[in-house]
Amino acid sequence: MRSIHLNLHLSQSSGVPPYLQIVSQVKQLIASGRLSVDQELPAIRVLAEKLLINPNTVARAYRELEAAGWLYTKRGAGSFVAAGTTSFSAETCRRQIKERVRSLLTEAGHMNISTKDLIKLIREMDDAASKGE
Amino acid sequence: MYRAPVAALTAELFGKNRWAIIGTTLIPPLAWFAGKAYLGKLPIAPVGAATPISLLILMGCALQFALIFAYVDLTAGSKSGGFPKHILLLPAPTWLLALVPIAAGASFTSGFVLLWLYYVSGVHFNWAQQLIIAAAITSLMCWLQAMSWELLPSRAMRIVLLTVMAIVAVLSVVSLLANESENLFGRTWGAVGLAVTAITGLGLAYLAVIRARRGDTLDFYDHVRRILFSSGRWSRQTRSPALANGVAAQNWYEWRVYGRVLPTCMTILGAGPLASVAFARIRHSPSFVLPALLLFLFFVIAPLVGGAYVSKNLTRRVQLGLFGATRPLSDTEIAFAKLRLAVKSYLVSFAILLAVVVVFVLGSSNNAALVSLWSRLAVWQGVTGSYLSLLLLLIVVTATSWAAGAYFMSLQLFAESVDRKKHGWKISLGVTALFFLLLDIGGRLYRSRASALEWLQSPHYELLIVPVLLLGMGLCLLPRFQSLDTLRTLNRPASSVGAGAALCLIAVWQLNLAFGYQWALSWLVVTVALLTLIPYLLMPVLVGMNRHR
Amino acid sequence: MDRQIPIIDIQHLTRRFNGKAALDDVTIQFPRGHVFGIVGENGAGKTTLIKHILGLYRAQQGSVSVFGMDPVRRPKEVLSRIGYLSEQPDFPEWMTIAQFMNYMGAFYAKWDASYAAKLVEEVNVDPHKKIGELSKGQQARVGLCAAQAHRPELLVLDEPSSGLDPVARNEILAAVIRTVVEDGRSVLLSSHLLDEVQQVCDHLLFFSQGKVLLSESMEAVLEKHYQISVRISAPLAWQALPGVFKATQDGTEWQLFCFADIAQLTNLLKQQGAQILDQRRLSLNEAFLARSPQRHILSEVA
Repeated sequence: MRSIHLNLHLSQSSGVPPYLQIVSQVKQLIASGRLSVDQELPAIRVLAEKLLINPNTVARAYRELEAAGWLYTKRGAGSFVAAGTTSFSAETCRRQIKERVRSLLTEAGHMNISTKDLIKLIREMDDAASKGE
Repeated sequence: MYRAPVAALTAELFGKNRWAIIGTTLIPPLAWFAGKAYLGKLPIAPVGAATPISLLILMGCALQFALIFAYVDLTAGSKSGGFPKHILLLPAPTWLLALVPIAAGASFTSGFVLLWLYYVSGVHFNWAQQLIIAAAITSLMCWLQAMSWELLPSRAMRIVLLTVMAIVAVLSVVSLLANESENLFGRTWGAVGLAVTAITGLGLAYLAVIRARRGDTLDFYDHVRRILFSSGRWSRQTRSPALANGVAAQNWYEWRVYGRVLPTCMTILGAGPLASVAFARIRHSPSFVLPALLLFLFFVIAPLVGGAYVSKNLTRRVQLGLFGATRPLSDTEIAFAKLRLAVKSYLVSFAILLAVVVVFVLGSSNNAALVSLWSRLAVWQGVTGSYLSLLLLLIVVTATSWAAGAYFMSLQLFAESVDRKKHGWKISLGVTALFFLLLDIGGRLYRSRASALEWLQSPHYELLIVPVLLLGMGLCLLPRFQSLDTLRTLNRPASSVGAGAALCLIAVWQLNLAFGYQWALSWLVVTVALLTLIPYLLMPVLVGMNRHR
Repeated sequence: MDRQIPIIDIQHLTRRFNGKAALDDVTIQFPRGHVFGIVGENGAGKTTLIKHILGLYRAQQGSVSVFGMDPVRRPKEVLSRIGYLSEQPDFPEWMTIAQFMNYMGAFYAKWDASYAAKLVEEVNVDPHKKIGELSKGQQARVGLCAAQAHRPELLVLDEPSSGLDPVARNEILAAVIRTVVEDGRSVLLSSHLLDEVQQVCDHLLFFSQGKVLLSESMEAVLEKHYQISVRISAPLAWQALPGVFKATQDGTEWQLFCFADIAQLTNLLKQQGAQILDQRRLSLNEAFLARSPQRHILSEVA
């Protein structure tokens, strides 16, 4: 399979290290299905030249992804999306939602909104949304 | 109404260039007079002031002024293009911008030339003749300014046109000044020639400033330019030769940047004597003074370069800056590239001058004086001696010519090491004055060798005071010279080269002349040769010091 | 190519100008195959350091070794393996671009003429134009072509983006990446544009007033710089805390700037009875400002 162009977007000011941004974005792409199993990822040097970042950063991201089981490498051929990532995908999605919820709870706490009110608000908005579509 | 811009322009011209102007105005005549006063003490019959050498100095100074006022920098590779940009932005009409520098330069230069001719050279012209000379200088200034604005795209073309105009101007002036009987062209043609050069010069200068101010908006000019210069011939300049390695590349670079300056100067300065071939008087009894002078014209190069450094506006140079210093070449390779350049440009210049001299001799169609000169020489020295004397003359000429070339080249390097605004003029004008002095002394020694011999038979130890003082100064500077932190200490020994030359000369005089007059003369030649070679020998060291601070 | 031997080895380098130290006992090693970013304010000594590496300055005290050689003693061998773009390129303005590339090519054995031609083509300017007629950005890009065309082992860029348009700046970053993706080649980049430095460099050198403030990998710099807000009633001996290099006090609240293992530090603080109010990673800009010996630092930094 020919490798695709990864549409990654790195932000300088987010405070998140670039390699982590790559890792999480690749995970999202795999989780959302835009990267299919056994699909080849761009070579490190190609991605580095495209994003204009240091190849070591890309290399580290790929290493992390491989260590976590999202990618596998074939010597001399490159990095490919590993199979069996669906469970990872679900796990990733859940983890992401958990993060969101956590920050939501923290923020609500700062604003002195109780968890009960928060749940009520969520239900109201959900009803409104389903009525509106 | 125009007082403010005129004041601003005048301040720009005279204010920023004041040290260059002061230096060029005062130092050569002072050196000249000091030398004469010093020589007056010797039991040598005083010679009249209108020596060829004084004329030489005059030409050098006049050219120097012309360059200062036209904001021209002949030292190659420099950013050419007339005035600094901020002058163009002055709220003054364009004709004023063109006129004021011309007026200032012409009046100053003419004033200097005429005063020199009157007091130093002792040549007295009447008012009409002085006006003619002033007019010629004015038209030359116009042309210089016009060319400096890059009116023509090719530098070679600019130089050629300038040379042609210089010849026409000189011819016209001499036609107007000479007597009716000896006049080849006649006064009318002289007047026409002068008028043409003056008017076209003024017009072109004005056109050039317009173009510089408004950008390339003169459509007809661009049209003409496109027609004339679109053919491949003019793009010859931009073709790149195949360069085998770094050394070849650097040689190419040095020649392109610096190599054509000396030959160019020689071409321009050769225009004068070539013009004088036209005269009846010269045709029948040629004076070999002027062609011989040409061979020593390299001296004018030193002041041309040195004095110009003083002007704040002419301080942009192609130097051994970051670009030059980061070439992947060793220090010796860079130094040899520069030396090779110096030798090559000297040879080309010498060839040009020889060509001028040959044309001159052929044009005068009379070699009677040449023959009589040779027979006199044979009588004095014998036939072998005559050939040896010729060889000696050639060596002295070469050595002294190399001197100016070497100082010209080494000034480029000195300029990096020293604060050229403060010391560049010192180096070059001091050296220039010294070489003129050396030459004059040598000539006088030769002419009055009998009485000089007698005087020098007994030692005159009071003359040693000066060299002892210099030696002491040198010893005091030695420990400071060791420190690499301040390369500015280099300028003091450099300035002292002139003093060192005087030292050697005095040593020559104090030589025990029991060995004979020829020995003293030989020593003179040797010291001059050494002094000219020392800058070349120092060049690898200079490059090293310049490149690695 | 032995990766162990550093490509540049500077030991106790000191340089004074008129008695003032532009470089003060600087010791750094640059290993191969990395992109080094030197960050510092104007006048910090970055250019002076680079000039020492190029052999333009002799080491007054200490030593400089590039590719294992002294650049002052052996300028030819050292400079033929370096591609250099200075802050204010002083290329000969009378040369056309074609002449310039031809001239530069003669100096390097590994000059690739077709690669050079391709690079110049990307600049999209007439090769028969004189360099003096180009804009500053175009000049810098042409200079960059010449610096890259012989595939140097070390690419040295001294504040390359100063005063350049975004296209030219992008080209410079591309050149940096293109160099370092090939094995064994290194880049030395000095800049005060921290965004670019963050993007392409993997090693960082903070420079201020002639001294090295920090020499770390980019990862470490980005991950371990933190600002912690704590509340503690007792006086806090912050100098004793590992990794804390700066602290400001506002009553019982302290702002601590640290470069350390954050978990360990927070534990230590808790042990001392401090209440952790907030902790956040510092951006590169903030980290540099916090480390610089400046008196007035704005509380709000970009």
